Amino acid sequence: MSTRAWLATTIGVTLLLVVGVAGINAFVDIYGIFRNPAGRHLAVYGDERIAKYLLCEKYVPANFDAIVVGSSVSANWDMSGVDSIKTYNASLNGGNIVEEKTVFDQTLPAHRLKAVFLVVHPFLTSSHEFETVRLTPRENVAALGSLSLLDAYKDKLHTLLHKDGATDAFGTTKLGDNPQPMNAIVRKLLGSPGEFPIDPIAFDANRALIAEVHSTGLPIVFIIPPLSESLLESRSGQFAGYSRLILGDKALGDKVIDFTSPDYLEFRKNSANFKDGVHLTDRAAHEVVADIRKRLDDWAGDGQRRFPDRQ
Amino acid sequence: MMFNSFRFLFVFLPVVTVGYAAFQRYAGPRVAQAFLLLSSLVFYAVAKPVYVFLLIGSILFNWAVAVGIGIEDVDAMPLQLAKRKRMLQLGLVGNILFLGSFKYFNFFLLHLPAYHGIRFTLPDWSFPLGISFFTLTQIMYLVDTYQGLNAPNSLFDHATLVSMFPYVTSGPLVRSRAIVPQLTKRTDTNDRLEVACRGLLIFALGLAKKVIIADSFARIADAGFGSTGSLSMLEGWVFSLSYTFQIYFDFSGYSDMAVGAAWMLGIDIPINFNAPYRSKSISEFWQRWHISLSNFITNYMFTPILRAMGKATLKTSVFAVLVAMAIAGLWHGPAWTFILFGTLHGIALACNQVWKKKRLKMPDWIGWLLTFVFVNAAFIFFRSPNVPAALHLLRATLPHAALFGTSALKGVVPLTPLLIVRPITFGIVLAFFFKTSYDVARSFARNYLSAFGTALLLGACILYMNSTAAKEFVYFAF
Repeated sequence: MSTRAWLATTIGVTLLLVVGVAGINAFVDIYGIFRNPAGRHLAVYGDERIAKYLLCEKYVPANFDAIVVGSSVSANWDMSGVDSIKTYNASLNGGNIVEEKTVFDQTLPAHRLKAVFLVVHPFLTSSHEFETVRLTPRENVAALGSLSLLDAYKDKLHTLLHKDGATDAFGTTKLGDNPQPMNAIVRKLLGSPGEFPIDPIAFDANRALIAEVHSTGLPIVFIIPPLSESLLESRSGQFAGYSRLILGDKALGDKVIDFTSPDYLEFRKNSANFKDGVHLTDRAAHEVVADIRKRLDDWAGDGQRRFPDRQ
Repeated sequence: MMFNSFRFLFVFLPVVTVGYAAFQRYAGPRVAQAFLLLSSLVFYAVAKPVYVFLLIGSILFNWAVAVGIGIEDVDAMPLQLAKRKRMLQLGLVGNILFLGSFKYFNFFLLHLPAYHGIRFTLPDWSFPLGISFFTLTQIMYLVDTYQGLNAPNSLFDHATLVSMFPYVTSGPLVRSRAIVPQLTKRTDTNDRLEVACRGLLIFALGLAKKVIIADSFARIADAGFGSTGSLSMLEGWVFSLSYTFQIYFDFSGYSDMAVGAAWMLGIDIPINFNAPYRSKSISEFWQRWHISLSNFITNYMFTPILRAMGKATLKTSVFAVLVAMAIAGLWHGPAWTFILFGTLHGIALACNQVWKKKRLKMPDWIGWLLTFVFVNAAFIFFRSPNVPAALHLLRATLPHAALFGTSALKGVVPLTPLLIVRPITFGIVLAFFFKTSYDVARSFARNYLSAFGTALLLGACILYMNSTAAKEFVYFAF
């Protein structure tokens, strides 16, 4: 083989590989960023953060009217049950508000959302570090071919073969119904004496997110999630204080659904509704979503709730 | 600009390689050299444009000093000798001051006693990329010129020699007489293409070492050296070994890429690594690790110190190696950890000299084990932010109550197979048992297997490069 032929073959095959891999990935478009994703059903595969970050760029604005901003506490809330406003669950397992805001900000340029559901939980403002990956626009380039994309394909293949996808096209993550011990991070947060620790950077991000939503004229539905009555009883003052702090930024058109109110006492007392006292079982999450739907319908019936028309 | 960036890989390297070859062929070596010089200055300026003026200033100073050192009038030898020596001294002091003002001045000021509670410090300048390397290259050039090993270069040749992009940022350290003649030589196209093929192969191997293997080790090492909690013995070893492998694959990967990029231009530069972790003694290690720096230490530090002491005995030799290695440690940066790293190696080399002198023997495998364990321990000082942190990790590697705990390891490192476990396993096998990159390039045969293999390796590297933000080379910090 001549030197010219060797160089041409090596460089040619390399370029062919690069262009071929990028071309196939752009065609498959697992995150809906390379072509119009309207009408597609894209589930989360691979790294949840990367997937939701990219899905929120085009897929969510093209197919949904509202978004849930939250942590693992709301990750298994199947928002397909809310039919009055098509809602995507962008909650991240173990996610804090800085990560959530980065994901949410992706939806802003499209100006398509009609409302935001913000889950009020001290976990969101307890830290500001990116847990697994620092979400930046370079993820768009990585979506043309990278190790995280390879993981996403493996995940998708596994789902297709075993038909047990962990996350659906509405962003819901199945957590199951079996009880489990509370994870160390939540245990540490709830076990800390006094007020819940608040990371100043995370708190600023939370306020910035609320201000951003308000500046675009969108209403926020603040949802204070349920937790087992025994846990709530032991920290009721701290939970109430935390909620008051976050709700201090509430605007006139915003709504609050408070699952820690006396209306939901029976629900909270039923330990079977919780996996670990904080996270709901999938079955209980359906009940919570059904209640959210009911509250939205009630508001609409009372003429209180008017989501702006989609432009 | 980093070798492991898309800008370098897809724009700079192809444009410069093709452009240099085209100018060589159609416009002659001098025009090609001008193109190479300009490209190298652009390469250097990309990181921080202002530093290119420091590089140019350093080049101008050393060129002028070398002209002063060069012998012009043979009849006036005695007079010339004194003048030449003064010029050399001026050059050495100038270079040391230049390096010192950016790297060491504040370090020394910090260790001076405070005057009425006031400490004098200079603004904390970040030092120019590659300053340690291009300064040492020019010190070698001045000494070689003084010793008559090479004639003073023209400014054009000297600027090209010092600023050439394959090695300006992190070496290898090159000698003028090995590089400058190659710039003016017109090479046969077929010969150049043959070398370019090998260059592309060794470049791909170096890139894989960096982006696939070194960066995987770095994830564990960074987490381990950043951890302040108590560590088990297992974790102590995993974290320290991770850095030992990281720095090897990072720096040898860089050196392979430097050699590969230079070969693609048809220029031969020295290799810097030769499977150092297979060494059976510490002196063998330094003959295989950062070879160009080892040669510098031997020829320009150890030998002059030994000569200055008059007589070469075991005692003077031990003293010279201790001083030379401590200075070499300090060369890496203004920190006690680097000085300790160098001094520890100096002590080990001194012990090795005594051992050899007494003609003592030990089985090869014990020699290898001792050397590797020592090198690993010394790198703990090299990587740690300060001496207490180094001692903390060093203590963890010794037997203590917690032998096999993995809580720190689990907490900081998600051990994903593709990103970490496989590259690390592959890296360990490569470091101890596989052919070196240089051997692979030397035994390279042009066929479809090697062409597809190289292409696949480059493809895998690009996949890894696109997966995370490019990580700087370890030696960019020096």
